[in-house]
Amino acid sequence: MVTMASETDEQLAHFTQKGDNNAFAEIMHRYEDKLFRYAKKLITDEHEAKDVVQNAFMKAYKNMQSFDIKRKFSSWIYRITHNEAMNVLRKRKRTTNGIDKTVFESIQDDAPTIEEKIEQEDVKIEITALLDFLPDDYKEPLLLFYSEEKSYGEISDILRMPTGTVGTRINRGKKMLAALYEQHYG
Amino acid sequence: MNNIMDNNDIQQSILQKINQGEIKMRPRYYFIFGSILITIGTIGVIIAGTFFVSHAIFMSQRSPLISFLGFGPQGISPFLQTFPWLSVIVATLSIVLGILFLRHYDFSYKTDSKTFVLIVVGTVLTMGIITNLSGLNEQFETFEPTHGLYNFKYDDDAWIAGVVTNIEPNFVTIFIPDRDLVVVKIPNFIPPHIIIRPELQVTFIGEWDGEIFIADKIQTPQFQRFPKPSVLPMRHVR
Repeated sequence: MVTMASETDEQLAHFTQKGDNNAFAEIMHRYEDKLFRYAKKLITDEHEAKDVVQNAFMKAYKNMQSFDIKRKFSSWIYRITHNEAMNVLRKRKRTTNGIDKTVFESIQDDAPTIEEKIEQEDVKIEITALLDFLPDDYKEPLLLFYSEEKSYGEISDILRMPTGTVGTRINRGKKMLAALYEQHYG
Repeated sequence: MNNIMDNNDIQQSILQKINQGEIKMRPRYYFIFGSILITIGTIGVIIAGTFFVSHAIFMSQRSPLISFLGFGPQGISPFLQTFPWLSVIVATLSIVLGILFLRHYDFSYKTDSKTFVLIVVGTVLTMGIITNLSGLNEQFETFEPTHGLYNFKYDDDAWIAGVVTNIEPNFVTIFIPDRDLVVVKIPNFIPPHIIIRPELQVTFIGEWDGEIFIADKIQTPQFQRFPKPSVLPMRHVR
């Protein structure tokens, strides 16, 4: 008998493709909380986040045969969840986060990033709390980077953007966070 | 705030739906078939885009398109009438569809969006130019199923375009594909740089008087691909 807990995500996906629903249960067990946390950060609504995760799992199951087990399963399931969350956001037509965008307009290329800021001022803040104020283009990669601890490559796979763009947005997002920090706590 | 879900809620609900057959896994062939369709579609629209780009260039080379604009406001109508709209629209749609189809493939998002679009547009345009230079349009023109795509309008109520075959005082005879020979009364004023001679390619703006075209203005465009008559009749019409 296969011990599900010791299998990799990709192997579980393979077993699911073969019709083993216990393998899919193990996948859901592994990802439920992570995806819920990610979705909630994106759409800032617990109930909708729950729906997003549920829909993401259902879509993942339906489309499991399209998953290439040579790829990273984590990126695939995050991608599906991200798309579901974006659908919710689109329905809401939320384009801004209610922040005064002028705070970002004067950011220079050599402006300090949030990490430098924290180091300089010897202050620890909850970075993810400030993420909510960023435009989605910057919030999404930063959320995956900080909160989900994904690599640039994985973020590139999840958000479907070139790795270079991921790097640029994360770097710029860090500077935006620094500017926000300055505005809120400076 | 609660960052963790109530465990098993979703899991149980989804497993129940799976077991009850409410959620079904799509079979592998669904995706294989979809991939094949997308691949065929992508190849198809890229080929169509290439063909219609080359067709648009070919038809533009056959027409006095730009010279019409030299007539001023009177030239706008013939310009719009002879512009290869169909080719340009179909080529554009093909490129857009090609981009959308290619986006389906994993490699496409690894390239910056603008670069990706530029690559697709550049590739189709380059292939279209090469196809046009290869002489494939001439082959298609004589090929019955595609022959109809190569009909070009050389005359209308207020304009006419062709090649001078015969010159008489105040009149020229010009050759127009499909209409054969037409007598044109030349304008009173001819710009000094225009010297009317046999085989000169000309465009006139004016009006018909029976079988004779009374020209107000003349332009001498360079049709790069004006269809040549097998034997150019050089006879006096009047």
